[in-house]
This record gives sequence, structure tokens and C-alpha cells, in this order.
Amino acid sequence: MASIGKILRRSFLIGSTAIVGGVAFGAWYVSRPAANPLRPGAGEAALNPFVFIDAQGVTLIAPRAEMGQGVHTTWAALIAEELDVDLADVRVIHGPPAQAYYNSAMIADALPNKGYDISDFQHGIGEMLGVLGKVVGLQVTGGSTSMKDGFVRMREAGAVARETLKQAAADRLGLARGDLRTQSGKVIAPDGTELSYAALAEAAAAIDPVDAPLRDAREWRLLGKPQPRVDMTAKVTGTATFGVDVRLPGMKFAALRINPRLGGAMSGYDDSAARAMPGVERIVDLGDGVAVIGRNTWLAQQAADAIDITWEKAPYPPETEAIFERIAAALDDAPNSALRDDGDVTSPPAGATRITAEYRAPYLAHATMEPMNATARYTGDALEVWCGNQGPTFQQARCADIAGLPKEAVTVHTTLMGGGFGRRLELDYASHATRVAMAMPGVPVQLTWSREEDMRHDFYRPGAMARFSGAIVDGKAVMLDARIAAQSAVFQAMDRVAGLPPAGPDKVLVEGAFNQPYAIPNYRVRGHVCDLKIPVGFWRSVGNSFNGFFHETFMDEMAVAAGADPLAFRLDLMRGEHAPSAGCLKAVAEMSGWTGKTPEGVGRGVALTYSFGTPVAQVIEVADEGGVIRIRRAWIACDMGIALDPAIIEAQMTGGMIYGLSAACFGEITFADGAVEQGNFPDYDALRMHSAPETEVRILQTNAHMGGAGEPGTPPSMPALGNALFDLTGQRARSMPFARQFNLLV
Amino acid sequence: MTQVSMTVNGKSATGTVEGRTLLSSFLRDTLELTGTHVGCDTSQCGACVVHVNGVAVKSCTMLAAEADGAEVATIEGQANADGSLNVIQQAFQDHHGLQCGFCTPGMVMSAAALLKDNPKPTEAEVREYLEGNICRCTGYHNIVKAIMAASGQDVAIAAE
Amino acid sequence: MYNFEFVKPATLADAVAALSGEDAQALGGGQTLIPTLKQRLNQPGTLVSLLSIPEMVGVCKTDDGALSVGGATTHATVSAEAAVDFPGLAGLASHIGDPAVRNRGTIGGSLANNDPAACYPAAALGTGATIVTNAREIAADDYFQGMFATALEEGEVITEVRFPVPEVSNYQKFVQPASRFALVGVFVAKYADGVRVAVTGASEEGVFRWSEAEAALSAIFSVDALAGLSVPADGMIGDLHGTPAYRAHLVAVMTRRAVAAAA
Repeated sequence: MASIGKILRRSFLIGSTAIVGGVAFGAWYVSRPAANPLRPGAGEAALNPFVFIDAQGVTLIAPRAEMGQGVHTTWAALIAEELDVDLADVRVIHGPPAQAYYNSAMIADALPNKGYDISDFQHGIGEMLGVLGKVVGLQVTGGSTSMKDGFVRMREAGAVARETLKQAAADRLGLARGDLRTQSGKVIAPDGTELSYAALAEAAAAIDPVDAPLRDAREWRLLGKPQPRVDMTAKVTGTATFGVDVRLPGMKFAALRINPRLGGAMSGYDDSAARAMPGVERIVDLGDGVAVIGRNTWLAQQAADAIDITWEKAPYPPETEAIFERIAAALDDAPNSALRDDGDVTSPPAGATRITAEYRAPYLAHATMEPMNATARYTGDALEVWCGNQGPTFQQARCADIAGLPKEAVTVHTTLMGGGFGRRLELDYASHATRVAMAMPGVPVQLTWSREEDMRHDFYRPGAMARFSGAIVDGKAVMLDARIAAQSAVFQAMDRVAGLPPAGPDKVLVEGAFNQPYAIPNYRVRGHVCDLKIPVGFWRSVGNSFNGFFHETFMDEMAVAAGADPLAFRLDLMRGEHAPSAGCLKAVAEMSGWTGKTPEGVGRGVALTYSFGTPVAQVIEVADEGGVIRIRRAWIACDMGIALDPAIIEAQMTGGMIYGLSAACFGEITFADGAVEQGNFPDYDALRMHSAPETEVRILQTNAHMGGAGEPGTPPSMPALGNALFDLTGQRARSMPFARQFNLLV
Repeated sequence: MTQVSMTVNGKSATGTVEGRTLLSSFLRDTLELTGTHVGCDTSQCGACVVHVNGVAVKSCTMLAAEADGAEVATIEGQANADGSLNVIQQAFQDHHGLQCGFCTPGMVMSAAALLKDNPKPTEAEVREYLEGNICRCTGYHNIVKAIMAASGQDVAIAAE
Repeated sequence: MYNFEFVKPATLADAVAALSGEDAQALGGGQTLIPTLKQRLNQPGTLVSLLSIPEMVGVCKTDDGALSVGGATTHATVSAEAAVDFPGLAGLASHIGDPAVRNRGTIGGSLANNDPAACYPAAALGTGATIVTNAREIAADDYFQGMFATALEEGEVITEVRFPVPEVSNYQKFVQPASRFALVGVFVAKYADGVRVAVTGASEEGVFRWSEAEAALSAIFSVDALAGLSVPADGMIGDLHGTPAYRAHLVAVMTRRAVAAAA
């Protein structure tokens, strides 16, 4: 079945084209060339470049958005590895929106398989289906897919560029290409003659691209080793441009207020006080809210606050408890999915120990450090948009719709993002910025959400509930039956972003529960979709973020009921099922010196979640310090196969874990009178530097398929902490946030 | 509207502000020094930390008029005179002390204030001093390592 | 935030004159006032900054052995300069907010605002401090008059706070997760003629003295002396962060910790 993978690889070729003073290398689609984002002139090839070389030097295009996960660095390293350039000598930029920057790995992840046990055949199918991403223009940074996606394509782009430059040098020097070598952006002849890539660029553009095999991993200079991040210098000197830092000549600044009862209408407003403020230029009716354009963001915000607005009701139950009653009721509805249904869960063996548990996870906000914002300039026949975003093709299409322009007339500039976590997959900020800019044609307008507007108008991690039952015989789990209910983030987003109706089983709603690597003979996981109109979306690790908690807390409860050590109990069920997962568990046991026993005043918990192709095991240690519980230490082991940059992976693992621990400890979005009650960090706190644990990470590389890094660190953190709190106090944490039940250090 | 003048990163800066104008807004909007970020506008997150007369303050909770005549230092003025990274910035780079980087200006400014008062802090002191700086990504671990390294201390000990 | 005029007088007399204007309000470090203004909960016509008046800044010992703190002295300065003479006060100041907040916030601002969860009122009441204003001297026992209410008249400025320095003292607070203010804070100070115990964060009446604990500790200054003592839950604050009973429980816990730390 290797041919399936081959078909995929042959669905694109690396091509080249002339640019002013140089050459560009990139992907060229045999079947149906994607439109060229560079708008080449007549007679020029349509090409989606990943490498530019001109008199200024080498520029690499990283079409995945940098939101802190280090994608620019590793993406550039993939190209540089084959191209023989030094990362310090190249420029890395975001690409424009273009079909050929589609994310081929994301659709493969949407297949309804468990992931960890797929055969090469299924893996190949997944890769092939990835091409479909191009059809729907899925240029998306999400789902922890960037490295899976770029691994082959980027190295091929680098290799073809290198060999073509060598051919140009060979032609010039009258030598054979095979006699030349490349190093640090230069072609070097046997006599020591050096020709820089920049000097060869125009000649390279005139010849056919030269294909080349990829280098063996043993020859890698950059990949597999920590690289200095290419975005560091700008970020430590304050010169990096985030969305809110965009400054354009003649620019105006806007702030907005939208109905806090999400999706509710606005029945009227009185803006007389705002209009009277010096420096206020326009008040824009957005339909469900109002924006003010003024001299600066601060002033615009003051004016927006001074508008008296009458809001209509929310299209969902206005109080948290009523919302959760609806979610609980959905548990008894017909299931949307039963993606795992092994053996028979309806008749456990006689004499089995039975346990049941019910769990609850709250709605959560993303709370990116940089609040939502976008800058737009509308000129009547064209629109330019500047914003940090995780999906520029979707932004382009939506903004074009709003402005009544063809897609080609809309340019999206993707800036750096002050955090994404899934929030910047949504289209609301660029959409509203477009509406606001249309009120002042020709003038660039930057629209910024206040922290409160941001927190109260999120696309939340859905609140979720679960009922688990299990059976144990002779200290082993023989049955696990789970029902999980939540709003479907996927169904909502399909409708919101792509206008597609919901259909089929929602894998994301049960991910992190149905696909866990445990050999339990009777094992069923069913998902129930709760139909509510609260906006929900993709929050770092998505369904895994609640299912990891449910499933791994229940595994702990099963271990306790079995009278077994919770780590050994898991390992027994995992060893024959998925070796990389078992390897992660063994690694954290060794790193933490796990004995199953802790001294008085100390508790430890373990959890493992397989998500985005990567198993991650964590041990968390808590300590009672005079009545206050500190999260003292953490050990993480992960296995995403080939580890392209260990330092970035370590940062993602630690970061993903603390993001999850923050939510587990304090995160909770609640509703009163239809509006979100939390507005800012005082109400929606995070772990701080003094309350975050010291952490040790081990990266294993046994996984046969490449997994993600940005999200898999999040899901196991919450159950590992809850299990540690149980170990410390004897109280089981079945509902988050834990600060409601335990006296945690703040 | 009143006229204010102050020294920002060694250069004199003047502008017209309302009574209610915040220092953060004056820096970002009037002086276009956009390195100082506003993450929460409630002095919770620390992305807006700058130095006023040598001490760290949250510029979202200080009036611009209050800084009239003051010496203000922001992230843009932290590099060495020859343009190279200062020891803290270099340590952040060397130890991957940031992820998305939005909180970084505040982290670097808080770290600079700490090391000025306490050149060899313990790891616990670093963590306590920076409790008012949130990183949502969250890269606390490497930020602590970077600050320990910037103080000339063994990072391996810090990681224990 | 509504707009306002901003003035920054260099003398106390000018500040008092400016504060006599209509809708004028004093501004200390602004760490509580500016957030309040942002929420449009307050609409001053003029803000009078008190931070450029030299005689209102600094910490020194008075002739009678008290510690005098200027009204515009920041928490950071108190934390550094009171450390030798009055470590209990320095310790309290060093745990307000975070370092950047402590570099702006002032003792006068905190006492004038009298937030029910602020730390300084516990020290002032727990030591029987004297609140000195431009017009008079007010004993702490008379100064605090309930949540956000004080004996200050319109336009009256706290120029100095005089603390009788105790033999030993300590402040313990239980931090509220959301605001990071004190959910309950207790200041215990032992003097030759007795012990004072002041509690902040807990009561609907604002900071108060726990007289039963004072009597017990004045007899024997030890944690054991507090055995069996508790404050009634009646009148304690009940909110999202803790019930009245929980706060009452914390008062006893924090008092024991403060005594243990001071002894």
C-alpha cells in the first residue's frame, strides 16, 4: 500500500519561477495548479513559493501562523536543512493566503479512526485525503498538525532549490553538478570558488528545476537539534509586530461593544455622550453592537463605554445551572456517535466490582494575552486586512463577502499572534474590522477588543458532562462504558466558518476518550450532542481537554477500586495495545521515581492522554504547605516520533501542561442573565510564575507516525492534578475548576 | 488637554494628553512605541510593565500626566548602546524564554527591575517577583531559567 | 473612564487648596482609584496628585519611638525602610499586590480608600496608629467607620501615619484567588501594656478589633491562648469566594498563624 503515499507525493512537484532579480521555488500541483498568490505576470508560471532567492538573500515562507509554538523556526529549518543555508542568515515570513498552503495533515486527523492503532494503509489514505484540504482551501494552523504537514514538502522544496542552484553554478563554471557542494548559502567548486545563491538566482530561474532525493536523518545538521528561534530577537526588543502593533499612515483606532448576551440582538442605543467626546470620528452600528472610531484605542474605548445600549435576550438559557441541566439531559438522548464499541458492555461478568462516576467540566475562554483585533482598509474596490489569524483563506473569503468584493480583491496580512489556542481560527475580529473600515473608506482602522469584550465574546470550550461505568475482575479493568455530552464545536464551526450543515458522528466531541490506548475487552464510548446556541469553538486540545480529564480520572477510580497502583494498572492495559504510550508511562515513572507511595503531606497523580498522534504521560506532585496546596513538581514524557526541535517541543509540552493546569485550578466561564460573568484576569485567573510547578520533560522517539506538539501537553495535566489531589486528600475531584473544592495556592 | 514632557529611553518626548490618558496609551499611541503591550488594562497581567524613575510600574495603571518630567524606560530602549541584546534579552533568546512573545516586554522589564535590586536572586525569588506577569502560552519554566542565566547563575541548578 | 483635569501640586497647601475645588479628589498611587475610574464608578472633575509633595514621603522614627510614614510613601518604600524598626509593617507592605503595584500604591491612598479587603487598615488599627491629616490627628479607633468609610472630611489629606512600634508583631493574610486581595487578613501586635488584634477582609463593617483574642493574648501571648476562641459568622462577608462561616473560621486560623509567626 506504499503506492498510496506515493500518489500523494506525486500530486505536487517542486517547481520554480523567475521573480524580479531572482528565483522562487515552491509547490506546483500537477492535477490542478492552485492559484498563485503572487499574481505572476503574463507568461510566468503559477507557483506557490516556499523559497525566494534574490539580491537581498534567501527568504523562506512559513505559511503556518506563528503564535508562539515556534512553527516559523522549525518550518524554516526543514527548508534550510536541504537548502544548506544557516537559519541566522535567512528571513522567514508568513505567506499570503493561497490554496497551495493548505494543511494536508488536518483532514487526515478528521478520519474516524482512533489514530494510535492505524495501519500503514489507513495512514496512507489519510495522507491522500489530505489533498482534499487544498480543495476547501484549508490553510489552517491548528490541530497540532504543522510538522506532520510540512515534513516532506518543505524538505523537498529545499532540496530542489539547492540542486537547481548547483546546476546554475555548474553551467557557469563549466563543471558537472556532481562536483559541486553547498554550504551556508553558497555553491562551492572543488577549487574553492564560491558562488552565493543570490548571485545564481537569476540563472537558476532560467533552467528546469532539478529533482533530488531527501537526505537521510543521520545527515541532518539542523533537524533533531534545538535551533535558536528566528522570531526571538524582534520579540525581546519590542520590535515584533503583533496585530495591535500595526501602525499605518493616517490610521484611526476603534473599539466596540457587542451584546453580552451572545447572539442576542441590539434594540437601540444612545451615543450622544460618545459623540460629544473630542477625537471621536464615527459611531458604527454593527447590528448586534456598536463600534467607535477615534484618534486612539484608549479614547475609542472610553467613548464606547459611554454609549447607552439596550440589549435583547440571549438565545440560550440565561443561567449556568440551566445550561448544565440541558447538557445533563443530552446524556439521555440518542447518541451522535459510538466510535468505540468493543465487546459487550451491557453484561459485565458476574462477581465483577462495579463503579460509576459522573464528571463535569465548565465552559472556558481562550484568554489569549493579546486581545482580539484586526486592522482593515477599504477603498471601494479593494480591502486589505492585517491580523494575527490561524486561517487566512477563511478570513479572506469572509471579509470579501462582507465587503461585497471578489476574493482576489482582498489581501490578508497575517501578523504575529499574541496567543491563538484556537481562538484565532474564528472570523469575528476581521469581519467586524471590515465593517468598521467600510464606514471610513480609504482610512486604515484598527479595531481592538477590550479584555472584557474579548473574554465575554469568545467561542468557548464547551461545558461538558460525562457518565462513566466500569467493571473490575481480579484487579483488572474488564469493562468501561462512557457517555459524554457537550455542544458540538465542530458542527457550530462548520456552519459558522464554511456554511456547511452538521452531519455524521462528531469525533472531536469524544476524542481523548474513545481513542485511548487501553486493552479493555468491553469498551464503549458514546457522544451526545447538546444543541445549545452558546458560541463554542476550538480550545487548545479541543475535545481532549475535557475527555482527557473524564477518562483519566475514571481510570484512576478504576485503579483504586481494583486496589492497584494507578500507574501499574494503566501500564498493564497499555503494554500490548500501544508501545509508545506504554513507553511514556514508564518514562514518567522512572523520572519521578514513582513508588506509588508518598510521604504525609505530599500527593502524586498520573495520567496519560493520546491526542493529535502523540501520547503524553504526566506525573504531578502536590504538597500541603500549612493548609494551602502547592503544585510543586511535574514530569512529562511524550512521543511524537521524530522530534524535529527538542527545545521547542519541551516548551510546548511545559506550556500546554500549565495552560491545562490553569484551567483545572481556576478556569470557569459562567452565565448570569445570559451574559458571561467573568471579564478579566481577576475573575479568570491563571497559574502564575510562583504557583507553576518545576517541570522536567523527556522526549521519546519511538512513535512510527509523526504526532503534534502544541496541544497534547494540555489534556493529561487536569486528571494528573486531580488524581494527585485525591492522593493527597482522599477527596476525588470530579468537577473543575478544582479551586472550588481545594485550597490551592494563588 | 495638557502638555507633558518626559525622557523616554534617554530621549526627550513631549505630547498633549487628557487628564485620563494612561501612560500605556501615551507610549503606544502618541510615541508609537508599540513594544509595551496592554493585555488586560487592569494591572493584572504585567505585559505593560515599564520603568518610571528606575522602578517597575504597570503603565496601564498610571496616568501619563503623572509621568511628566520622569525618566521612562521601555523595552525598545533595553538593548546595549551598540544595538546588541542586553544580558537579559540575550538570556531570553538563549533559553527560549518566550513563546508567542506578547508578554515578553513586561517580563524583560520586570526581570531588569528585579536584577537591579537583587543581582543574584534565588529561583523562588524570581518566581515571587514576577507573580504579576502572566504568560498564557505558558512558558514560565524557561523564563525562570533565562532570568537565572541572566544573573550569571547556573541554570542547571535552577532546573532542579 | 470619564475625563478629568489633572493637577500635581508641589506643596501641601496647594494640594489642600486644589482639593477645595468642586468635584476634586485626591490621587495617591492610583492602584485602586484608576481601576475604579476605568469602571466608570467614579467621576471626579479634578484629580489632585499627592506624589510630588516632599514632606509627605518617607519613613522615620519620631522622638517618642513611633514610626512615622508619610502619606504618599509607596508600599515598596515602607517594605524597605521599615524593615529594621517595624518588621511586621514592612512584611505587610511587601505582600500587597505585586512589585509593580507596590512601586505606585501609597499608604495614604490605601487608608483613605479603606477597602474592606485592604491590608493597611489592619496595621493601623492593630497598632492603634495615629492618622495625621492637614487638619488634625485622628486615632485609628476613631478613623475606620465601615467599608470605604472613614473619619476624613471632604478635601482632607492624610499627610502621615504614626505607628507605635510593638515589641513583636505579624500580619497574615489569606489571599482571595480572584482579586488577590485579602480574603481575611489579621494583624497581631504585642505591646508592654497589652496585645491588639485587627482583622481585615472579613466583616461587613470593615476592619475590626477582635477583643476576645486581644484579652486572651494579653494574658498569655501564645497560640494556645487562642484555643476555643472564634468570631461569630454573623456579620461576616459572604460572597462567591467564601461564606460568612468560612471567613469566621479563617479569622481564627490567621490569628493563630500571626501569633505563631510573631512569637
